[in-house]
Amino acid sequence: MNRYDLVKAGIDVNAALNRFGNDVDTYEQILSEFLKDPHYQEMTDAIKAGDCPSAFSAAHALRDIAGNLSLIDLYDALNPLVEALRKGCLEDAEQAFEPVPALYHKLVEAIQNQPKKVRNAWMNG
Amino acid sequence: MSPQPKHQILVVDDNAINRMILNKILSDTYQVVTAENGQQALDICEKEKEHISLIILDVLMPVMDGYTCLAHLKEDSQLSTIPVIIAAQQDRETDEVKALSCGANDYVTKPYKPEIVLKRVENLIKLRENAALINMMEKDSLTGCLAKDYFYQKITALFSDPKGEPFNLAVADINNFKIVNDLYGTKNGDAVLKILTEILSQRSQLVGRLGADIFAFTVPQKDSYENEDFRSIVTELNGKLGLTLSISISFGIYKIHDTNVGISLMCDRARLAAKSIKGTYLSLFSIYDDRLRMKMLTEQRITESMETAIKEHQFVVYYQSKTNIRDNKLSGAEALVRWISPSYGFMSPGDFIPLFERNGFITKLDMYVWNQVAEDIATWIKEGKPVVPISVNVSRADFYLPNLPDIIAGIIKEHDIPVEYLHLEVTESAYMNNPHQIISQVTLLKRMGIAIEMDDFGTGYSSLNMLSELPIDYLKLDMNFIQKGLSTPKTRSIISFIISLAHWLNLVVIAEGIETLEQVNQLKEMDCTYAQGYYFSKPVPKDVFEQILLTWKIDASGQAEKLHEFPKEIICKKTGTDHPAILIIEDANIDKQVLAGMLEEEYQIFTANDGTEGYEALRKHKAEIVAVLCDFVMPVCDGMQFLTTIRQNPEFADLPVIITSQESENVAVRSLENGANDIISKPYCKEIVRSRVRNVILASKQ
Repeated sequence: MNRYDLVKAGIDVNAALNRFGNDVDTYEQILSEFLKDPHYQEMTDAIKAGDCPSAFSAAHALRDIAGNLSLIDLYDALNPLVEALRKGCLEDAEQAFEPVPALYHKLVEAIQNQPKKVRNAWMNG
Repeated sequence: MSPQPKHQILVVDDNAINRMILNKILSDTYQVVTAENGQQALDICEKEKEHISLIILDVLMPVMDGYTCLAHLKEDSQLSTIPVIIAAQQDRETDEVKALSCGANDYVTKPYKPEIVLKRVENLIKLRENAALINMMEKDSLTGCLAKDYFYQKITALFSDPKGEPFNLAVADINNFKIVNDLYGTKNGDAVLKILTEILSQRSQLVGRLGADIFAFTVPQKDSYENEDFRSIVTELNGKLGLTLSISISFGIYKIHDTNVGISLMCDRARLAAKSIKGTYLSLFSIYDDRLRMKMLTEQRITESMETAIKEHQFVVYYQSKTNIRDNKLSGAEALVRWISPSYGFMSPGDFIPLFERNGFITKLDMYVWNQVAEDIATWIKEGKPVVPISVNVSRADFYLPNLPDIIAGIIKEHDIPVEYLHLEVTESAYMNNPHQIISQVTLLKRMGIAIEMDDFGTGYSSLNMLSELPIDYLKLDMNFIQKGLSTPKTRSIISFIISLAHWLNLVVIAEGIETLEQVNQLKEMDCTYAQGYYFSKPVPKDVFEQILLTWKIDASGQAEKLHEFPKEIICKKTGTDHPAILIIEDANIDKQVLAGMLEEEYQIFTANDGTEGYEALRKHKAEIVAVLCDFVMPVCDGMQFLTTIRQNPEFADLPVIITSQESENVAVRSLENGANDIISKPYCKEIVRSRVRNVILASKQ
């Protein structure tokens, strides 16, 4: 695991590992599950379509995962977005959404660029 | 014996990652089954209802959400006994209330904290099992003794039992029980309660639990009781527990004369008796009597008259001088308060200060004293009298004022007195209660130029860590410490060590409570220069102190101690000016000195207490400074703020900066991302410090 890249991408690795009983393998495995999680895409599509209720449930679910995996930067950015969507205010939501893609892609990149062993673990499993 | 089968927990969440995480957290202790929505959960419950011990239920789910599922569960008489924990992101405080009002037994927030999830699950499973076994109303679920209300009932029944032995009522109040929980965990804390129940039950016909760490029990009726009656309880408890900490218990007794006094009031009075001896380790028990009630009444009367006392200036400031014992000159004084009441006469602080500390009035009284002292100083200056610095007490509670530095600044400004004439005395216990608050407040006060004295050093924890963290100027060694200390060679050497340590930290030591010439001579041998106590002068009213001011010789500057004040920047003398300079930014004096010591052979050293001072020093000495060592955590302007600031200035964009910190990965990564050139972790290692500094300087030249 390349911790430096993960921390740089906005992950509180220590806090996350604490949640996984310091089991690095499981954490790596679940982290790679994040790449498959559909909620980011659902949220993005729904915001583009102006569909606040769908965007809310996707953003809420994404924040759930972000919190549990200690993706702190993404989690912080999702907070105002979830609140704007809850209120159904598309204008605020679009504004709150702005920083999210960059943070998300930074995470995806960092997770994808993890050493081979990690990627194989989920690709095979 | 085959191991007990694991309890089964049903995790309901639509999100696969969340299910995996809960599974990871729970699977060591429990067997986990999962469902993706409320409907699936209900189906599983129907089939497995005998086996499922608990449900953890997400709120927002497709098909059937958490609340709908919960409502179905509660409608079914069998399923409704399965405890449910709602798991949700905490968006609003009302969410938790809503969950509980819908019939959930508990609530956990996401992101999950494993310890909390496990504890809540454990508690609910235990609770459900206990509820099934015993009648919750009668017995205390943890210890098995009687629950409070049931205990009251049983005692009342005993009163009317004609064959019953006569008895009195006692309570056992475990001292500092919270510390046991903190130090040894709640498991051991629970063990303390259980074992104590066992021991009390062997000695008493009825034992009840009144509160978290308070038990009531019956004792045989006697005229008087001995410590021995209770000592065996404590000895046996500690023997059975075998913890390194010895647990002490305060016992209180209420003698039953009149059974018409309600049992609840009897318990309250016994508790009051127990409370009255908390902190006094000599007596194990206390009997409730009228003196105790009188004491309460007196306190009540004091409470009623204190506001008037301030208005009518019944509080009077007395001054006790501080003396330079080398030349017997007056170097300062401490302001102490006396209460001269028209109804109760002359009262010394011991009679009212502890009460004021408890009821919060102390803050008002302190402010009154600060104002009074500032006014006196202003008068002396105006009248052309000699003036010395006067120190005033700042109580623990004062640090909770949000604007303490502003209040002090306001007083100084209002009376227009030079800032160096008002010193503040803070106590160790204040620091112990709330270190961060104190450090930041004291730092701000110091920045205003106010000297800080650490009062009562030696009475409490006497933490060396505190000496390095708090930016103090004076250390007042407590009188009890001195009186005990000077009597044996061993403790004398401890005092001597503390004095040397204080000098090394650039602190001035003032010995308090000096009463004899012998003590003075011993202090001189130990290189302690300042002392206060009855040997020199008792606390005296203002007019008498004015005579002292006029007749005693005054320490030349009137503030000799200022010589010792830790300078904002020091340049190490050993090095010539042609050496390159290093700037060390660090709030803790010890850390600063340790780093300086490691580097002073090769570099000139500048130091600063925080990022703001550091930036000033950097601008002033930019030609000489070749590298900066900056602490990550500081109360005012911390390492990251400093880094960000200097990197914005093109002059310092390439200046090598090393962040010092206790090892933490996040700190290291954040530092490097913010433009630090390297990291040094604490505790420092001389070779590493030197080599890192050398490396960043060399690298910056390339």
